Amino acid sequence: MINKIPHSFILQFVVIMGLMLLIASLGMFQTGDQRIQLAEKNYRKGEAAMTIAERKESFNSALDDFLQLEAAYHPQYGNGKLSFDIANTYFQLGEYPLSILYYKRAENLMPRSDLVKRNLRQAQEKLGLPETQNSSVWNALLLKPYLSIPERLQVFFILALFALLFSSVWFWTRKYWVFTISVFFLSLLAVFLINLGISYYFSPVEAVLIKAAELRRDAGMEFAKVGDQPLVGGTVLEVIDTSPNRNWFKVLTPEGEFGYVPAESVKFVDL
Amino acid sequence: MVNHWKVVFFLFVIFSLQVEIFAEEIKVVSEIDQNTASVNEPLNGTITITHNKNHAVDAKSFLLENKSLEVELVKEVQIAPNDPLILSIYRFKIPGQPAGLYALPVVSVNVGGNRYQSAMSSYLVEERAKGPSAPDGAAVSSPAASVMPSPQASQISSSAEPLLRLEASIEGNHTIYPGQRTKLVYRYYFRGDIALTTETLPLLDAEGLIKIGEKEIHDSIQGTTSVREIVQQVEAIKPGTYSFGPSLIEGYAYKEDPASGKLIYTSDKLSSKAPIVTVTVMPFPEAKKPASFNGAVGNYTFKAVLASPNVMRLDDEISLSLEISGKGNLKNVKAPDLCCQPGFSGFFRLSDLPPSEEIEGNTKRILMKLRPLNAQIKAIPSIEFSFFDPETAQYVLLHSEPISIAVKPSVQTIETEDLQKAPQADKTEALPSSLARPIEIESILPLTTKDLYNKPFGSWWVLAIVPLGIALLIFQNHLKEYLAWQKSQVPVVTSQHLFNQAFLHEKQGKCDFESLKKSLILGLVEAGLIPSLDIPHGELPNEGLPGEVKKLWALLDEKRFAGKGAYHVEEIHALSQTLMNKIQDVKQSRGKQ
Repeated sequence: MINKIPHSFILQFVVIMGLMLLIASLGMFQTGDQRIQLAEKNYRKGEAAMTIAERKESFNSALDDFLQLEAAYHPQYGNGKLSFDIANTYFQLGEYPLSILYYKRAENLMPRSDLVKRNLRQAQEKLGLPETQNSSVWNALLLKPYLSIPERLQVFFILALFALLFSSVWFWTRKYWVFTISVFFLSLLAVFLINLGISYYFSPVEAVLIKAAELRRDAGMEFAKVGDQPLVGGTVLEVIDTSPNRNWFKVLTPEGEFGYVPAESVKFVDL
Repeated sequence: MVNHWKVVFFLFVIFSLQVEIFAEEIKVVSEIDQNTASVNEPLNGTITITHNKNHAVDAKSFLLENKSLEVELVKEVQIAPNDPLILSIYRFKIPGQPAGLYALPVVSVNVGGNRYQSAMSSYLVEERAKGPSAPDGAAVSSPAASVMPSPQASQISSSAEPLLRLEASIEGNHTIYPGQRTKLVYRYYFRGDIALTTETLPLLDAEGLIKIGEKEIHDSIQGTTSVREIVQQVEAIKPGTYSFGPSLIEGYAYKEDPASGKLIYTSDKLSSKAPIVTVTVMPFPEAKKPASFNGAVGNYTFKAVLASPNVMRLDDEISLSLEISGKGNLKNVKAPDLCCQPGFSGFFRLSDLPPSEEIEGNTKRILMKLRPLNAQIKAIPSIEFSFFDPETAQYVLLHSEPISIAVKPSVQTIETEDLQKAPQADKTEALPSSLARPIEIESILPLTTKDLYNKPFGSWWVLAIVPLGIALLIFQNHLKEYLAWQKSQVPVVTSQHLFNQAFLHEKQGKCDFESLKKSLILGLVEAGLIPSLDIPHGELPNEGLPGEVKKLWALLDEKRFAGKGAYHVEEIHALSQTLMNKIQDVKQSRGKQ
């Protein structure tokens, strides 16, 4: 049978399946790193420290290790544990704006975790900041409080495999019940594709002010301030636009005020 | 021809864009100098024109509300070394006006042959008068001189004798304690317009003391004399004697030439020197210094309030608000060191993070976090707070009221007690582990290797499965079509093909006689020697190749039914092959014809 099939068909099949296997193999090869143990050991040492100097040194060492791990592996679509641990370490060192930044990153990857929310709240309380509100209908429709982007992508992948499988079976058998199941999976797949598209293109770009900055009316120090008080470090902002030289970001504050802040004062939550 | 039109159109677009770009480069901005906008005084204004240096500004073409405006070129500034854009700055004057908010009409001017105009701008004319100021070109040693407003000129006789006098003083205590604040004051007394040439004001530097906030400037009039007061608040850091001075100011009385706008000195140099001012910072007395004293200076009240429920479990967090109210420098008031106070060590675990603090009016709230370590604790003990009262030069000790609390055993301990049979060692082991728990936030999550990587199929690359899946379905469609097509094809069987099939198992001594017969008959049909395959072999002609086939057929039947070993396949193959070759030759020759 197979020797009757032209080589071009076999080549097409091999190419398609090869690309699918390539996607499947992405992120499958993992090797251990002993810096994990080192970082955790330093963190525990910091927690148990009896002097301020020892505590500071230990937490700084832990932070150094955690940041090295982050730079080496970039788990921006991971499970958020590394971001959470970095956030905790920043918190212990009193760097609350940076801890809020990493808690927000962890929250995006662990949306159902109460632990992250509690610690984030603690950090915000330290800076006298109000709690960030994520519980909008829009977010609920996008499944943001329930599934992180990587989790949604995983669900999408599984649905796509099922849809492909049943569509192929229907293609060869033309059975009605197979057709029904295919349509069901294809519908779910479309819903998730729309969800991911909206999340990618239309979700607000969140950023955290890592140091206090004045909110200005336009992109430059020469422009007037918006309000008397500067924005507190740790404030979660929505970035609307960038200035042409990319040195300033146009932002929306939690109080609903628009203005510009220097780019160096801001770090994006999503990498 | 069409291409030529395209080129012309392209050039037209480029030309239009250039015109547009050039048009945008020229900008005219006119404004009144707000710092000199005094009541009924000529108003100075500037016109700034941003333009290409190749396009000259016609200085005689300035119009203010369609009336000619006399201007004077101040300077031309190139924006960047290789940039053709320059800024031409012109100065103009308009008549004085009463106090109020006015709109400056549009100013138009010819630049490069085209007329451009500024937008309208607003300006405020205030009750403002001349006073000591730095003349053009004179060095100003203090920022105070450049921002100093003057008393109302209309209220001071211009014929009065010019006056310039400086006083330096301390408003408040000359003797203070570390952490305490006082005010250093300069007062300028002057009459007429004075251009200052020298200002040596060491009080404003306050070397050795910490300056608190910006200096405050107040202007007033005493009779015919204007008074400017500059106040700087300072805070003492460490004990010592700090002397500032002597302070010196020098300047000239002047008047402005109405024609040229230049200043003309009308007096000899005026000079005033203020004597040395000394601030003494005393050390805190060692006698009767309380152990709890940590630098608070002033006069305060103190109380402790529980900011969390008074019933808690062991090791739960307690929020304790310490409220310090009163007169003094609240910013420098630190939280009492609870770890060293009676009743805390061993009973409470204190957060090792700095407490949060807030100041509201004359009250400072310090939020302390602590955890009870013993279920027998019944109260948060009285907390001692001490401060130094500079008025009485004595330390004051204050104690908060003890706060009743109820500490229940932790959940873990209750479970252990319920079990009863649990060995004693388990209880003792549980304590250190609970002690190791961090205050305020939960500890880190243990990491494994997989926590360092992105989730499998969790990145945007998985979206590639959509086009790949579609490609796979299209592939299956093609494959299905191909197989259907292949199935629909009737195989073309030739005599040669059947002949080969007849001797497929020759090596095993077998021959497919039916295939052999069919191949020969088919060969005759292919060669055009008989019209149809349906002719029975008995009706084949006896002559020619059909006759030979008929004979061979009869021979084959004879051998075939003669029994085993009656024939050799090789022999039949050879005979058949010879006949088939002949038929093929005829077929080929007929094909050529």
